[in-house]
Amino acid sequence: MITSLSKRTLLSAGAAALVMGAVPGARVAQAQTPRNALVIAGTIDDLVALDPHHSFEVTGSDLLKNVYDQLFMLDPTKDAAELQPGLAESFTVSEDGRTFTFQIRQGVRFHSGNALTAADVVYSLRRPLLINRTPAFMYRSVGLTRENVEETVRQLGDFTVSVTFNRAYAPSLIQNLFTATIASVVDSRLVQQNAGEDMGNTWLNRNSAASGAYRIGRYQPNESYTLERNDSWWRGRANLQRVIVRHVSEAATQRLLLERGDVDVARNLTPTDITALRGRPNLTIAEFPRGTIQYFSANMTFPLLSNPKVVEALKYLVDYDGIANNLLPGQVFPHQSFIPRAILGAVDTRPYTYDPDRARRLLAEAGHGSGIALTIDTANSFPSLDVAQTLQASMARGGVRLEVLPATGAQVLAKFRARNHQLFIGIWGLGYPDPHYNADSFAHNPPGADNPGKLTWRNGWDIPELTRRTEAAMTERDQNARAAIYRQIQEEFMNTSPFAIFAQQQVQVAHRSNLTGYMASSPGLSAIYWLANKG
Amino acid sequence: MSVASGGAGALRGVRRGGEFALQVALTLLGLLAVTFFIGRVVPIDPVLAVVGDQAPRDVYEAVRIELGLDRPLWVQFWLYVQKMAVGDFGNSLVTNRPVLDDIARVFPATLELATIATIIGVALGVPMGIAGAVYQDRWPDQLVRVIGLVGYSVPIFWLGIMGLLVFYGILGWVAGPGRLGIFFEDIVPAVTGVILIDSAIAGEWEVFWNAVSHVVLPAAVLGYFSIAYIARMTRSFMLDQLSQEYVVTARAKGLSEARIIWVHALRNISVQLITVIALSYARLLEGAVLTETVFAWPGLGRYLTTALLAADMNAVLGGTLVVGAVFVGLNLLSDALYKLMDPRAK
Repeated sequence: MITSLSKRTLLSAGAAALVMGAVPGARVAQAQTPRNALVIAGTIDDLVALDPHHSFEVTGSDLLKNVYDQLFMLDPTKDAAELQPGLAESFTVSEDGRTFTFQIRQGVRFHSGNALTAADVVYSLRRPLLINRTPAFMYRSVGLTRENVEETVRQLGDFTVSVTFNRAYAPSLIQNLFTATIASVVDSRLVQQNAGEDMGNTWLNRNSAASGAYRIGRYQPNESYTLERNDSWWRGRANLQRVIVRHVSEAATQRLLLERGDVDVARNLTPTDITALRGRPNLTIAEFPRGTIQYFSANMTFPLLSNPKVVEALKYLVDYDGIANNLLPGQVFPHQSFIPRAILGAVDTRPYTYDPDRARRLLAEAGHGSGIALTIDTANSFPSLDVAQTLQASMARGGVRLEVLPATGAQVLAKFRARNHQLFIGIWGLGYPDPHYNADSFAHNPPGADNPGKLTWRNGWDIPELTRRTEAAMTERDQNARAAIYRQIQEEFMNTSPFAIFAQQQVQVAHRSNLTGYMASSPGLSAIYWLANKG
Repeated sequence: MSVASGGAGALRGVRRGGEFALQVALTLLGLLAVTFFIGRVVPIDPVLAVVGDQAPRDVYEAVRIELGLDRPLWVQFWLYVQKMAVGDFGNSLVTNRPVLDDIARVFPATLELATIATIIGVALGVPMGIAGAVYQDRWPDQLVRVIGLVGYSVPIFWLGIMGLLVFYGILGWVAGPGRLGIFFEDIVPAVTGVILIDSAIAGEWEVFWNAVSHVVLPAAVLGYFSIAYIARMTRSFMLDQLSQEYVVTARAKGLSEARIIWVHALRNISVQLITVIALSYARLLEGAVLTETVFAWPGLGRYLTTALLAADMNAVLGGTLVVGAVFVGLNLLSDALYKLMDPRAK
């Protein structure tokens, strides 16, 4: 999943700086939001779908995870991913490991008043494949298809559902998959009443048929959405009655709204804004890790880059600390492997540092003592372009002349998918909070498969042995043993892969200090509104 | 005789109307063709926008065929024109709604802003331009020139943010970004989409004043740029007139200076002035992206920019067509006004 790149230009940072320069010490008059409402200034222009079986953006998850219930949930109050039952109270796995039987929680009601039963769960598990929107690939990757879904997803009783996968997947993988937005259970009766020609896809993109903490009160694309509390939520009702998210694309404007007290949270501030707001009374700066990593990769089908020593040299030419501390302060933290922090199997080791001398030695050993020239493709937007420029400077000191080739995100992506790049800067988001999601793209490349969907393929990285281990990890039933395999895979990955992962993203927000419990991101990869409260 | 001439007149009218309709249709078709082909040449992949980054080859191909992108360009264009002809602009990829619905929502926001800005521009720009011409090279002229120069040279987003900081942030005289306060949304049913009109129709005066408080600042910022342009043009038109012989004659006849300027000269520059105002208005109706961004104003400019960045070609084409139609409409309007103002144009 490529998360939407920030469309804000650098203009915003510049504008904010100008404002601060022009009116030093300007203090802003105070207003206040209602005590029972959480008001957020953020950006929602990448929110394309409200149908939980269609949505695939973080902005969509932020909204939908607070509206729909899934079969499982990752405990939002824990720092590391910890599974909790959701609408599935418990489950058993068949002898051959392929069939999972879920016991569905009884007594849950949808916002409409309809009772939630196994029929709704079956409908909701089949529907993503039948409407076949972007996220359907996640179900296809475990062997559920449009054609087989009638047999693979079955209702066994009023509150019992079984799902048969194409392999004996690790139970933790299936549970993690079923915490994702795509595993949201919709009110099947209500959806069918409004189904139209497309199984209610159009209707669900404007309405909600859910059982979760909030229901959607109002939604205007590119403008705002309002969530109203579900007072009879089975987990216990949310603290605040209303959540309002307003689209404000300009960071300086978000900051003014926050300073004035017209919003409780400013979601997309620049490092300049954050620095200026730090230490203000009544305001708090908070950081939340996201499941998104930043990397650059080397195309090994390009002769120069097929030499492992050259690739290794490149990894010593990244100013890891400089990127985290100076270029993107507050927006990222250093991280060098493909499983993001807080997810099962994550490792914290960081074998690479910025070491131009070592890189020069490696290049000399590879027969390029006089240096090399490479191109790097990047989206022409923040932060990829900025990172590319930093790389250009840091690589020059190690004898690598880097030419930056910026283009729109879509153009660069097309080039990347066609394997026409030399180096490529990418941002990679976790689609569901399981290590397999990333391992499948960073450490899995079946021999002979021609799959431009996989990052390994795009970089021509031929790894039969690692592919086998990734497949072993995906079926390992013991969670600890599974985590151990991923740690080994990552060690090998960091040593030999054509990927230099340099950072993991975090959301840095500023909010009014009387607000507690608000989470801009959580291990389950979405914002959590229902724990927010005001003092 | 009278019957015959009436018939001929009607016939001429119909013919002229037909010619005009054909002209408009051809203009719009041309516009459609240019934007369509540019949209197809731009190396942006609409399939990836639908299937996502990780789609395997077979899914990708299936959607490509579903979208008709495997067919020859001219076939795609023909299908597209057919759809457009019946008012089907398709769905926006970004909002997942019919493009026409989207435009019906964002255009009134821009219309509201642009109209008020233009009213401000005319109300202040014309007198300022006249003052500049009358007091040529004296202090009123210098003042007008400085105001104009600032209007031309200061970046609009900067002015917008400064305006927000001072009048909203520090002084608290106006409401903040957006068209309405959060708690005023959805009170008034959308009739025209222009909140000022809708709230007045509904008699919701609290909503009306809240909307006024929101629109004042962005309209003033935009209006400032119209002032700069309109004042400069008015000044030069006026200078031209004031050196004409009829003005000398009028002065010799003993007419008051005010009458010469506001009645005789102004009337003579009115046709040119209408062109200038219409152009400036049209430019604002395209949507002022930067102003809309700073003020979180959900208008056409921001909609089109978002669509463009997301390679949402349906929305871009639909929006472009609307902008084209606005230009045609305003041309028509100013043509009609010429005839009203200038007997020779009849």
